[in-house]
Amino acid sequence: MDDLSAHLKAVTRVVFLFMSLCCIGWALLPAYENWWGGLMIGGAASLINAYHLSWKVKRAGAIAVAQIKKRVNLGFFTRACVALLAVVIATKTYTFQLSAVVAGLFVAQLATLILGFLSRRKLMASNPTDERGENN
Amino acid sequence: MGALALVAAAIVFGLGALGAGIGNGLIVGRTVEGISRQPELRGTLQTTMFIGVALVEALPVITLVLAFIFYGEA
Repeated sequence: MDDLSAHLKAVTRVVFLFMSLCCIGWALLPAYENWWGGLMIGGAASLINAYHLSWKVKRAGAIAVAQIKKRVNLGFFTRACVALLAVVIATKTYTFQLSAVVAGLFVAQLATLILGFLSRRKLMASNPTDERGENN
Repeated sequence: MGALALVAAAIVFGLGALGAGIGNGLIVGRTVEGISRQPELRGTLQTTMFIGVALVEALPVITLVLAFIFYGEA
């Protein structure tokens, strides 16, 4: 398994943990159901966006390795539309808080950042290198 | 108020998209260059690119939602 797949698997685990915490919060504090529901819809949309982005990044890497002259497209418009769809579902179909959906849209990004820093730190601790990348 | 809200929506999303475009271009360009030079580091570079692009794209998603809020207010 390559680095990106392992990283994405960890991000998926964190987002599902977040959504399960939201379910528990909804069960314990039903008065704030607008917030819990919005966070869950935003979290689901952010996970879809993370999978789409990883697919596009892998494609860009494959194009670079194959040395093909092809335009690399990261597909931001698709991810923006997914975010917008989450907002529309949360506000039109249900009556969830818009702010909660927007907050939920950044769960995967936040998890990506934190897990990336942690894995980098672990790698540096287990395999110390000097500034030229040579083993000490 | 209506026309000003539309102008605000256009400005906020336009500037957000501009910043994300510049950031994404830099990240993808450097990563593709790095992978072309050292294909054996592809996994590491792809992960770094994934983290960078995820961070860069957080801002335009916020601006998109803000733009639609402004559009709804108009």
